[in-house]
Amino acid sequence: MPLFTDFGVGGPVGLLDWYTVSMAAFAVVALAAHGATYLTLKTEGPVHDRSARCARRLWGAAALVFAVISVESRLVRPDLFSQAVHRPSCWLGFVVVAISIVTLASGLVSGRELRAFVGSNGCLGGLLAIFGAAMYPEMLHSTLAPENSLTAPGCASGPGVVFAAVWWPFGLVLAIVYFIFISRRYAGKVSVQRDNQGFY
Amino acid sequence: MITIWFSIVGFMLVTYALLDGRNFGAGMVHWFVARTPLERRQVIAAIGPLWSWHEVWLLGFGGTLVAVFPPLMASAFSGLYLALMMILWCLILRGVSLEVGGHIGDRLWQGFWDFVFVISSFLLAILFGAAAGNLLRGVPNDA
Repeated sequence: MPLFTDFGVGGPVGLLDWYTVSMAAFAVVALAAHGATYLTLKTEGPVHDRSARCARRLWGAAALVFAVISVESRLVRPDLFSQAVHRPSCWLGFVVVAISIVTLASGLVSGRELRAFVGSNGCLGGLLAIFGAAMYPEMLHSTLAPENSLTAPGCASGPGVVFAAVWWPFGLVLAIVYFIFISRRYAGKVSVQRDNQGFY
Repeated sequence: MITIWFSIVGFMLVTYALLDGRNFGAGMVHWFVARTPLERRQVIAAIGPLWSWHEVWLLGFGGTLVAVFPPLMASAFSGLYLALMMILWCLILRGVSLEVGGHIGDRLWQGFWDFVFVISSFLLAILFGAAAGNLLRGVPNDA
């Protein structure tokens, strides 16, 4: 697949076109806002104050860019919107996003850092979950012909599913245990003086 | 069963995006929120001990995709080879900048790795955003 072709969204597309570039712009703004919200939670002093200001501005910008990519997505894949409206799992995602937006906004305005960060995670996680639920069962849509699209039932591997069912639960337990351990180990605000690994 | 595995794969990808997404974000705002070398070390200390385990979710996502949906992985790797290689290089450069930058207390050394950290974080956000766009828009799959 080339880097770009004619910057159109149909037929033999490349990696970059007007739609994917818009999505990349949204990712930059939304993730920068998410990161600034996280830094507000983890830092103190001037870095904390600048991060809080940065987070407020970036979330405002993310809302604007999101409005643009929503319209663009409606033009590029109108079928996804009709699927999202008719699926209960997508509505659950909409509820999560709505609650998260309120949580994020109230956290940013009142200076409650943890609340803002929880809202930030819920907002981005909810949006991604809506996209996934709306796409199912399609996993890779074909711009050349709909029948060439890869679907979950069409590309599932029988032996692979059995193999993954054996190792995946162990892996998940390990990942969650490590998540809890490291979250507690490095909880709270950081400062270079207190950093116990020394070289960061 | 397939729906459950689709949900599991999606869960791992969303978890990775949220956890490592905050590191990309911290990297992108690094120069705006931290103005002195000490403040820059503070930003890196906020994500330094955590970034590597966040990538466990990306590995888990890839591993599950290989096992459960191999044709999808084959199509994605062959079709999106260029983008995946760029993502891999940016992940490597970001990891090196985080781990190596603080070892020598020299302003030029730390400034260089801070630059690599910011640029690789920007590129990763752009590449993952473009990947999400490709997933939604579709790819020219002809078979």
